[in-house]
Amino acid sequence: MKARLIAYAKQAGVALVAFIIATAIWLPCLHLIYRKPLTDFYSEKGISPKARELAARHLRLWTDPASRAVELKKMRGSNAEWDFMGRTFLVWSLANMSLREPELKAQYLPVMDQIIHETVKIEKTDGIYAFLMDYAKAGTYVVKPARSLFLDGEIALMMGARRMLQENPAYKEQMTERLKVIEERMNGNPLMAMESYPDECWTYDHAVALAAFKLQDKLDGTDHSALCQRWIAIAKKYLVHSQTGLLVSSYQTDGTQLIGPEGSTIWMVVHCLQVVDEPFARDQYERARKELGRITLGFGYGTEWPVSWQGPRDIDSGMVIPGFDVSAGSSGMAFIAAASFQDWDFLRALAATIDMAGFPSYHNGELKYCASNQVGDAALLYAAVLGPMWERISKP
Amino acid sequence: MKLIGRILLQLWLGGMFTPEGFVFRALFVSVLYGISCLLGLAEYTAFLSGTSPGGDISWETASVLGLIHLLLHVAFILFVPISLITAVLLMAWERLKFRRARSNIN
Repeated sequence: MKARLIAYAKQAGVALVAFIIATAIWLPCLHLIYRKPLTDFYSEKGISPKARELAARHLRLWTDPASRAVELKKMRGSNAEWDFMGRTFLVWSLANMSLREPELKAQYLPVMDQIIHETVKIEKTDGIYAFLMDYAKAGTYVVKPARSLFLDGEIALMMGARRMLQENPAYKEQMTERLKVIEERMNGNPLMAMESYPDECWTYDHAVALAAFKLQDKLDGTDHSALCQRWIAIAKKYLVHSQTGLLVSSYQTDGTQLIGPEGSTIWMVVHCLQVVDEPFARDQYERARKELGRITLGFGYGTEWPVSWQGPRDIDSGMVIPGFDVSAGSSGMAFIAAASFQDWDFLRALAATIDMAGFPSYHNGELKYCASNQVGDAALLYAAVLGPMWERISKP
Repeated sequence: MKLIGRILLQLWLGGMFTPEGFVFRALFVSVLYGISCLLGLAEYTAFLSGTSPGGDISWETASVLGLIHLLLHVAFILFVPISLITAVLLMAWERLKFRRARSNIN
């Protein structure tokens, strides 16, 4: 009996050693299965295969009311903001795709118009709260009448993106009107802060609005460079997290910081600031990459918070996987920043992760990531095609 | 049904540390993962992004189904290949032992 037990223990010991060796062999190789050429996700010229497949699904959602109703129910059941952002990311993506392949313009323009028209209609009919989270109704906006920079900035950028393909006088008027309100409110606050939620200002929304101003300058020959540089100067002085040097995510109208640097915010902020102040945006990207970007065993991901600042887990961060601190929200937005700053190693590693853990589902030439959702896929699509719009804005 | 269960248990435990045992467990996990894929449980992994499942299914049920698929996926991409490599290493070790024993006899 004892001899049998010793033999069994010996066998177990050998198996354990073999299992450890096998793990050491396999883990560094795993990413090779999911690692594809970068051009599979992002192509500097033309449109990558993944972008085409992601776009195909989104276009079907906007042309098939039944499928769209199902997706919208999922979005709005989780977060009304996602319904809105799914629209904006898609319109910006279609604009970039049309600039990459001008023959797509005829097909995409009607879809962009449909999205913008419907979005503005909902905002007019149901008010700003239709696209905001419920807690917006619980507070009171400091500046009245209540407006949300989140909506005004992104809608202005949507309209500008559409106008970049073909002028539309109605959108020109509406875009100008929205940006005028933003300008007035920013100028009316010592920190150039405009609320997105009651007494809650987001760096993300300010960065989007500044990009919209730059787009307006390009389209209409206006000049908002002084306003933009003033905001950058204020941000550097009052909105920077002391330990990391990264911009904080949200603050009150008096400048009281609410949420420190977050991955789900900063990656998009650096992308938008790229057309406002490239050196500052690049510096922020490099800091974010160091503090929040990770590549482990060939897989890239974003953490939501730097080590020196831990925030509350919320709907933006998505699920955070303990141990690695992988954040779905931060990782998704990291695609946009990595593509913007041509950080190809990080982008390739992020693409490997989404193929490994995003559960891609291909059907009839369409692609969706099951672990993601409509807004997540639209953000990925935007990351896969961004570039041309920003290039045109930046060209003197 | 009971007999199949007993055979599976015997195979699972009987050859716990043998190459056959590792191969069997790898196949078993692969079959389970295949079934999960065929049933479309991947659709429920949307809980990872905090997305409501929509339709008639409750959030809790959808999360459990999504979690099952996620765990089987992790097992399939990690446990299965590692088990197969372990089986190969154990076979190589046994062959080496056998050769040594034979040369000692000779």
